[in-house]
Amino acid sequence: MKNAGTDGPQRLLAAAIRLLPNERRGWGLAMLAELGQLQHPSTRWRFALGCARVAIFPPRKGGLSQTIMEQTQKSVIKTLGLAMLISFLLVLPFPILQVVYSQLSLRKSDNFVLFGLLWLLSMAFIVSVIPIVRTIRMGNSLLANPITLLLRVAFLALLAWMWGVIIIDQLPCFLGVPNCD
Amino acid sequence: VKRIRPPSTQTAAVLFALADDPTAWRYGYELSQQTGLKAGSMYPILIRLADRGLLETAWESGLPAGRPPRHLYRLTGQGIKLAAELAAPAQRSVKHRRIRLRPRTDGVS
Repeated sequence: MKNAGTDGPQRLLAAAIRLLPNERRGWGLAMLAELGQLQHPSTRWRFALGCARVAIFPPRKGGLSQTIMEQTQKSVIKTLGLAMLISFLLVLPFPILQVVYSQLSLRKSDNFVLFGLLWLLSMAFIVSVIPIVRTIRMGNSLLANPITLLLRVAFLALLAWMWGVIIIDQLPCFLGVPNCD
Repeated sequence: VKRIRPPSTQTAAVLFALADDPTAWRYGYELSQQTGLKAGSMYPILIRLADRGLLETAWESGLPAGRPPRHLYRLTGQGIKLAAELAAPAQRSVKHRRIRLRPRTDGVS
C-alpha cells in the first residue's frame, strides 16, 4: 500500500480542511481519520473528493436563521464601515487645508477634538440616511411611516446644521487666517 | 411556532442505518457503505444531525499504538425517537401496500 500520509487524496483533504471554520475543524479531522482507513487508491480519491467538497462548502451552523443573522451582522458592519470611510473622506480636506495654509500643528489636542467631532457628525448623518436610501432603492414608499420619517429628517437637519456651523466657524483657521480661534 | 421540516430521504436512510443498533458506535465510511451515500452527501447529513442534537459523536479511545483514532457516531435519545417516528408510517405504508398488492388466489383453479 502507498503511504497514506503522503498521497494525493490525503494532501487534497488536508488542504481543504484548512478552509473549514474552527467550529467545523473537528469534522475535517474526522474525515481525515476515516480516509486513513481506506486502502484502494480509487476509493481514497472518491472519498477525499467528496469530503473536500464538504470542507469547502460546509453546512452552516444553525441553518437558515443563523444565516439570516450572519447576513444582518454583515450588513451592519458594511454600513458602519461605509459610513466611517465616507466621513473620513469628507473631513480629510480640512486637516489638509490646515497643514497647508496654517502654522498650527495638527498635534494640538483641540484639533483632534474638532476633526473627531466633524467625523462623528458626518458618520451619524450617513448612518441615518442609509435606511432612507435603501427604502427608495427597494421601491417602497417613504410615507409608510411618516412619524419615523419626520423624526429622521429632523435629526438629519440638526446634524447638517451643526456640521455647517462648525465648518463656517472654523474655516478661517483652516485657511490660515491670523489670530483665528 | 417552529416549523419542523421532515428529513430528506437520504437523512432518513442515515437515521435508519444508525437506528439498526442504536447502542453501537458506527464509523462514517461504514455508514456510507450501508446507506450507499457518498462521503460528500454523508458528512453534511452527519454534521446537521449532530447540530440538531440527534447524533452523538466521539473519538475512538484505547487504541493500540500507531493506529490513529476514528470518529464514531450513534443516535441520541432524540435521534432514536425521530428514527422510530419516521419508521412507523413507512412500515404502515409497506404493510398496507403488501395487503393491496397481494394477488387474489380465491377462485383461481
